[in-house]
Amino acid sequence: MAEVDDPSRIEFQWLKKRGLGGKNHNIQFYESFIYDGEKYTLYDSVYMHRDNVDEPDIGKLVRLWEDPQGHKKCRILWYFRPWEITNYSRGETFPKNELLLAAGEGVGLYDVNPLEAIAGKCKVVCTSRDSRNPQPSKEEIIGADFIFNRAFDVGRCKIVEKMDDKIAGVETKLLFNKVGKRPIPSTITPSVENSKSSKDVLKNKECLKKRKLEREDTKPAKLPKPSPVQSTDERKRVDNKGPEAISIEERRSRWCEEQPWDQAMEDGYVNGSLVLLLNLDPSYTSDEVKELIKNALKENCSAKMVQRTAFSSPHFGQAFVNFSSKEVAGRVVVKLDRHCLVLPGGRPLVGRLASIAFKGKQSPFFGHFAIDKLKYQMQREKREAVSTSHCSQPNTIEHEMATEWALHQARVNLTWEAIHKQQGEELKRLRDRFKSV
Amino acid sequence: MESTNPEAEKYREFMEKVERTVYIDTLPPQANESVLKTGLDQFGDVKNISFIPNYMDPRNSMRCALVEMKDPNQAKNVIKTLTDSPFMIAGMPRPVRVLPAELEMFDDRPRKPGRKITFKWLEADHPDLKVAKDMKRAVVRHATEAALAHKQHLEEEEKLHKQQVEILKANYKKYEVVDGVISDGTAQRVAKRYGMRVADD
Repeated sequence: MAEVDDPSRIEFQWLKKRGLGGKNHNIQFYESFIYDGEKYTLYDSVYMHRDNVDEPDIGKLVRLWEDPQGHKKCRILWYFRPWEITNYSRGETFPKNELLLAAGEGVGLYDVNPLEAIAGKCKVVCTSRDSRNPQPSKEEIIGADFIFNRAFDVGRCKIVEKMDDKIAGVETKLLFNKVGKRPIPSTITPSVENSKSSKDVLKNKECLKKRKLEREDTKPAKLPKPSPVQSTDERKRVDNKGPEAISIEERRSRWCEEQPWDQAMEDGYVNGSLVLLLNLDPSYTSDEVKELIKNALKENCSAKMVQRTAFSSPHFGQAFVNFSSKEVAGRVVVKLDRHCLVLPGGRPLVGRLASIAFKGKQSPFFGHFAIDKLKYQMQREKREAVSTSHCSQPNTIEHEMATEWALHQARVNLTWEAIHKQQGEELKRLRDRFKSV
Repeated sequence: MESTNPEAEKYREFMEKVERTVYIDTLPPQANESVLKTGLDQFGDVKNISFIPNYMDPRNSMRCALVEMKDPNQAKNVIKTLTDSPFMIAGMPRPVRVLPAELEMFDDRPRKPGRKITFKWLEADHPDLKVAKDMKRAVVRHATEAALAHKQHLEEEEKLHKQQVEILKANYKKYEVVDGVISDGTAQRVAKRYGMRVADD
C-alpha cells in the first residue's frame, strides 16, 4: 500500500459536520472523516487498537466530535467476540466470524476513545432477520470480515436475539446494515449461488473459509476492493508475509505511536489501570521502566517517565505505567506493596494507583493581569510592551511587582531546598542501614 | 573501541544538547512556541522548543519549557540575562525563571550506555526487608510533603496575585482622578488661582 512509503504524515480531514453540542455549545460533532485515504462515516464498524492486546477490539462509530482543545474523539459501541463472553454463553459454539453487538445498559456498552485509536475499517454485516434490518446480499455476507445477528446485554449478561429500539441512545435501525450502499459484484461465483440462506453460510464455516479464499484469488477483477484490515483469521492464513499483512502491522504501529500518551494516560486513569511508580532512579528512560516491569513483574505496560522540572525531587524519579486492565494494575500495586522489589542503588520500588485529577477547572495562572486593568498604566508607561516579552524598567510599578514575584520565587526556592535536603538526609540514613543491597 | 560505540556517541551528543538548552518555567498557558521563540531570539538563536507536560498536576496551568539554543554560550547568556533582571513572557508582571537544563528533564533522553537495570525481590526473611519497607514509607511521605508544599506555594501565589490586583486598581483610580481634574479644567483653575504652570510643555 502506498502509505507505507511515507510513514511521517497521515492525511486526516473531517468531512461532513453535524451540530454543535456540549454544555457550552463548543463541541463540534461530525458525521464523517477521512483518515489515511479511508473514509469513515458514522455507524461504520472499525478495529480499535488496544495496547498490549494482539486481537484488536471491534466496535461501531456512533458519535464523532472534536472538543475545543482539538481532541478528536469517537464513541464506540462495542462488539463482543464470542470468547469474551464464554462465561455467559453456556458452552454454545459460535461461527468463527460471529460478533455480538453490545446492548442493554452497563459497563462495556460503549467507550469514548481518541479517534487515533481507530486501527482501520472492519466489514461487519448484520444477518439478523429483524424486519428493521435491510437484508444483506449473499456476496456481502461472504465478503464480510465479521457478521452479527444477536446482541449481548451487558447489564443482564445475556445473549439476546431481539434488539431494543435504541441501543446506547442510538436508534437501532441505524445500527443495522446501511441502506443503498450495497457493493454489487460484477460476477457471482457459483458456490455463492448454491448457498441457500445466510444462515447456511454461517453454519458451514469451512465452506465459508473456502469461498473467502476463492474471493481472494479472484479479487482484482470481480469483487470490490477488500477492506484494508482483513479479518484476523484471514490474516493468520496469509502468514503475515503478504503485502497486505505488512501494511496492517505498519499501520497499526504508526497508529500506536500517534496515539498521544496524554489521552492514553487519561483513559488509563479513568479505567483504573494507571499506576504511578516512585523511587526510580531519575535518569531511567521510559523504555527502561517498561522493560523493568516486564522483567520483574512479568506484565506488559506502556510507561512514561515523569520529566523533571524545577519542582521535582532530586532524590527519586517517578513514572506512569499503564496496564491493560484495572485488574493487572491492582495486582502490580499489591505485589509492590506486600513484597519489596529493590532496584540498584538501594531503591525499593513504590507503586500506587495514580490519582491525578484530569477533569475539573484548570487553576488560573497567578501573576499575570488582564490588559484592561493596565490600560491607564500603559498609557503612561510603555504601551507597546503589553504582551511582548520584555525586561521591565526599574522606574515602573510593573518592575516593583515583578520584584515581589522574584522575592516569592526566592522564598519558594529556599523552601524546596530545605525540604529536599531534609528528605535526602533521611533517605541516606535509611540506605546506610541496608546490609546487602 | 569504546569511544566509537554508537550508543556512547549518541549519549555524548545528547549531553551536548543538554548543555545548550535552558529550562524555563512560570510561563503562562498562553506562552506558546512562537511567543517563546520571539521572546528569546533576542538573546541568541533558538533552535528548538519543547514543553514539559505536567502530568503530576494537570490542573495547574503553569507551563515549563526546554529551549535549545545554538551553543552553550548562548544558553549561559540567556540564563544570566533573565536572572539578572525580571523578564516577562506573554503577560506581566510575574517574571519567568530560567535554569540550566538537566538530562532528566528531557523526554527523549537516551539510556545510559551499557546500563542494565538489575532488580531483586526480597524474601520474607531477608535482613533488609524492614529497612526497605521503611524506605518505601519514607518515599510516599516525601511525595506527600512535596505535594503539600506545592499547594501552599500556589496559595501564596494566589494571595500575592490578589494583592497586586488591588494595588493596581488603586493606581488606576489615582490616574483616573488625575485625568479627571485635568480634563474638566479643575487643575487649570487651581493653578491659575495659585499662579502656577501646569502644562507639560
